[in-house]
Amino acid sequence: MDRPNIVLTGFMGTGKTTVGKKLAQQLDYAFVDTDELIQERAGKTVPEIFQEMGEVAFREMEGAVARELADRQGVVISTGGRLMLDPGNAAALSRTGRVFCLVATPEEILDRVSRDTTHERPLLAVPDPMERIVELMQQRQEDYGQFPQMVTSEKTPDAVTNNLIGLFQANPDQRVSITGAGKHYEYIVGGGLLPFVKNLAGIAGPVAIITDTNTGPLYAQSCGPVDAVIQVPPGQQHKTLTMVQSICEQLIEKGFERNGTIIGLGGSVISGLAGFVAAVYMRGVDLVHCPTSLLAMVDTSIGGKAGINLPQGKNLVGAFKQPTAVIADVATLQSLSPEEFSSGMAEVIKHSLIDDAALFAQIEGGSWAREAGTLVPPLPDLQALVAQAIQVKIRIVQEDPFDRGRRNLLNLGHTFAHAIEQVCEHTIRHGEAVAMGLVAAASLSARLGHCAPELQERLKPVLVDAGLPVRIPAHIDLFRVYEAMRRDKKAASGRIRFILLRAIGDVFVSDTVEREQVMETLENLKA
Amino acid sequence: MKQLQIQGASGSSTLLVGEPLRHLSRHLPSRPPIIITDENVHRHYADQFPAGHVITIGSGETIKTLDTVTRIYDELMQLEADRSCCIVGIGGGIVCDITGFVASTYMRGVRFGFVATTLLAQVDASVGGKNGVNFGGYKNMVGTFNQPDFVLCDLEMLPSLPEEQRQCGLAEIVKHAAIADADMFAYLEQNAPLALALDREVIERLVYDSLVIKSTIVNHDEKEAGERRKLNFGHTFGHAVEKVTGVPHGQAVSIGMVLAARLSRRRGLITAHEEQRLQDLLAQLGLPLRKTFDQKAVLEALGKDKKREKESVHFVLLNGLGNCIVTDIPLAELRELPGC
Repeated sequence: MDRPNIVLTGFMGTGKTTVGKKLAQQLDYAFVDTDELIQERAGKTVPEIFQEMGEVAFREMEGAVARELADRQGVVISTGGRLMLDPGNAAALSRTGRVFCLVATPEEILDRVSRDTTHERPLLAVPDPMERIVELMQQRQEDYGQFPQMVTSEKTPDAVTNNLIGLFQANPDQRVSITGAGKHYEYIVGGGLLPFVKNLAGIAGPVAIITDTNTGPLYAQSCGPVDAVIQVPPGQQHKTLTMVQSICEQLIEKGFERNGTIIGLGGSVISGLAGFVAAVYMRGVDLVHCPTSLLAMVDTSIGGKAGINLPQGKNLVGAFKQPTAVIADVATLQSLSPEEFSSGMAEVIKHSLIDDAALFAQIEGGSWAREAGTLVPPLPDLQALVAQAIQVKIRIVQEDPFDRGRRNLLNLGHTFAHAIEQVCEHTIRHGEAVAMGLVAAASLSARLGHCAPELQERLKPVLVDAGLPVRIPAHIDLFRVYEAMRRDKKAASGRIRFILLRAIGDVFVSDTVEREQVMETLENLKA
Repeated sequence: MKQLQIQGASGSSTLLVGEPLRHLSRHLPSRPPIIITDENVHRHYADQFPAGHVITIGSGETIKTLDTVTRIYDELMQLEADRSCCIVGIGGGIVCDITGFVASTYMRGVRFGFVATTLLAQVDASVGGKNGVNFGGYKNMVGTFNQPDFVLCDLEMLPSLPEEQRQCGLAEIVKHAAIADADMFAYLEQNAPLALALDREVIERLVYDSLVIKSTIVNHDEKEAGERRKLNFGHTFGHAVEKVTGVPHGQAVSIGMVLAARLSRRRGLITAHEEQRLQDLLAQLGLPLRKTFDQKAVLEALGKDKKREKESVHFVLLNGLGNCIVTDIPLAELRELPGC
């Protein structure tokens, strides 16, 4: 979506209409005041509608207007004081717009309202309006609290407008629409998105965050108030059915019901766990991925796969679960260790090899290795990298949501990688194994005459620059690696399926590779 | 044999009513299937199974756990079953529920089908795409929605069913007729003795009609947002009564339908005559109409149903025989219901 709406909510007298009109003018957006729109359509003023048709009728009109405006873009929407307090309205408008709640002190509100003679304020037709304002504000405080606040007290409307434009444009989110298995959702990439997650994902009901004990303390609070935060120990070894069981137990204990939404906040282990739990808890609840690692952002959070490990291997059990949104806050990458960052780069490089030669050239030309404690590159570059890398996977999974064909291509390097990881008992990182697997795939492709031998020579320095290995550790038993590949769930009737390269950006599937050629390739890559 | 094709969000299912187990291999891919069944079915019918590995589980609701599922995963791994395998559950509702869940999650989903061996499984558990296991004291707390490729309903096995199991199936058949098909209801009234005797022709029509009704409702709403709730007629009370008194499911549903019909009549949605017709039919089929139970405990159990939302309960009421509505009823109103 190029021009997301801006939705202004807040108490009466906080300047929604005044600021809204100025915002619309500066951004070249349309402006809609929901109360005015309703009055125009009904041919009656709001107090008349309340009197003649009742409040229920008015709320229904608000609902209709909210749904209608949610389908438009490029509109600044100034909402009636209570419109956004309806969860359905808030969910609809948040889906396509950024919501801001304007706030002011009661004194200032009374002052502004008294000076404004264009509106009737039936709610304030009481002997002591000040007392009434304080009372109403207290009632609604919690509901308004779910939206990002913009203080307007002692600011001119122009100053408020400029502040909002600053917030809105400082890091314009990049949004990519994804259609998977008949469901439509958005992948939103930006810096500092976590505080807006509930709005961006359009969540209306109860929320449970599933995260790990590394990520939770850092970011769970950023997501605003939620109904449950479930923390699991970090690491692949905890992506088990036992952990699924423990999470479900905690959800039951918290009274988490079918109308709830699970937010998976963390790396790829969390994506898998949260995804699987959301797929099976009460036969399915809504899921929002908030990936906090590069690997999870460019890979695991896309495509709706949720996998759980068995003692016999990785992701041997799982489900397809499409999220309602993916919100990738690249600011969270700042807390990644250099090794984790490199691990994610392995998938970025894989994506470029599969279907984006330009991205490969871009990575080749840049320097992506992270030095300890510093974030290289800067946030906007990271955002751009993530936004481009996800396109490859999104394109492919959209064509094949249930992994029955083209999606195999995403396994480039992974047939090797999964087997190597398994034989090492997961003592090396997934990204490291993928890097070895990518070199193996390029090498095998060259051995079989599908691509030039130069391809792997071009690939290796790119991996090394990203802090990744290009050789298989000497202690690894290659016979066991081959056996593990044969047992992989991608293998059909014992035939191993490889993704091979013709060139950078051009790959294909083959299940006719002989054992001998695979073994020789592996031998050659041994350190 | 009658055949029905249903199209759901998760794929299409072929339902074969009156197709015997011994014809199973006609509906399978060429590779031998992996069969999941329970001890009982295995003991009586193993000689009719097609060639293929058989995984046997115990019987009873207590076997429907993640532990059983884990044990089956283990066995599948030992068999080196890959993504191209086909799993067939041969048994009643419990076998279907477990098989559906295992097949939907093993390797993120493999092909699967059912041979439903009980009347209840044939008219209920085998269609609709729901599967799951019990967890934390709640039924079907963990599961997925996923349609099997095919369901065989072997009617020749039904006469060997124990009385209790037969009642369960008949109660669901009455439910389907009552909520959606006045003609079927009349047919049931005319043929109740034959239905009770499991007459081949009558049962074939009743199973088929039930499947049409259930699959139509399910197709409208694969995710229980609204339409599917209709299938809970008699079950809201039924589950609570079952939990509190321990009566078999079919009997509990029968009692639940009687209570729901009374509520419908009190609200003027059906006449006293229609209420009587439902009771008469249930009685003819040997199903109980009432039972003394602890009212407070039943109401408490109602509040704990996992489908509960807040202070009221989604309730299915008849709106004339052969039609129904779903409505929210405050728990307070249920307290006033005589006989409850």
